[in-house]
Amino acid sequence: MNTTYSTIPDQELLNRFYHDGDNKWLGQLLQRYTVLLFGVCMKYLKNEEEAKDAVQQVFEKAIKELGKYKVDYFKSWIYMVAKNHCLMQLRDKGKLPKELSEQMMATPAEDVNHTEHLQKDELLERLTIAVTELIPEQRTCIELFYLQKKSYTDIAASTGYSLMQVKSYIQNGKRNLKMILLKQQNNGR
Amino acid sequence: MADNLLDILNQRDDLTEQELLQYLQGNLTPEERNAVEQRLSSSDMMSDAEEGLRMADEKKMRHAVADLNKQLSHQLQQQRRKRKHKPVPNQSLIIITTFLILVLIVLAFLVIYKMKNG
Repeated sequence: MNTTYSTIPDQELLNRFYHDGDNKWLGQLLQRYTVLLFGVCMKYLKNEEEAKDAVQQVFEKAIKELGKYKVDYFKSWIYMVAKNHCLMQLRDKGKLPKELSEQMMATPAEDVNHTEHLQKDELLERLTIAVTELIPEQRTCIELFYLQKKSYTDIAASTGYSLMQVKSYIQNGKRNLKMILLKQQNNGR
Repeated sequence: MADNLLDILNQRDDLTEQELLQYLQGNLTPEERNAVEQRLSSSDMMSDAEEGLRMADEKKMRHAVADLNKQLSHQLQQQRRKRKHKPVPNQSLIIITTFLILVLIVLAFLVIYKMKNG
């Protein structure tokens, strides 16, 4: 990647492309994501050659679509293009697991922070209580990860859970905590 | 330490490719690892990329990435060349047509003016 442009933010590169139509900006922008897109496609397709073909098709789609309409959040957009492309491929091959089919064509979830207006102390108090309401596995992983700053592998080693379980307990624990906070907030109204 | 719990609500999506690759190579301290993982847990794209890159053969991945970047540059260059060689519409034809239309308008105006004033 050309280092001259490495400090220009994504949105600025995209704006320059929209402004003068020069696709060198698009090239700079897309190359920033080659490794990440390869990783995303690899996760779903589980084969290096297929992942490579998928990234190439994602690039082609991006070049075509970005010339037609304006995209505001490039990173989320290109991620959804890549993910949907992989899920479509899996569906066509009849390899799409049920839980993934439910995610198909999903738009990036807007993570609205409903707790913005709460004071830090109040929020912390509510969070501390909310953590106690989690199932034990999620509570343990959340505490080790956020309070004791342990890495996934350290948590897996100290709890006996697999790495995947640790990630899943943290991810689901986070989601549940946000839901508990939201519920508390709605009940308090 | 309890303050760290507030990190759960932070949505930091600023992990770079370089940091992710360093993380995958295991070149980070435990604190740095935790910091990367906290950001991974806030970004679906990074988290998916991390999982995929972990299962990819590094040599194949590097080859694929180099090929993809080369193909991308080639494709964009071709597009640029095509656009450069696109025939431009004949300028003189446009000028002559505009001139003729203007003459016709003036003539039409004169005819109508003469007819009205006898």
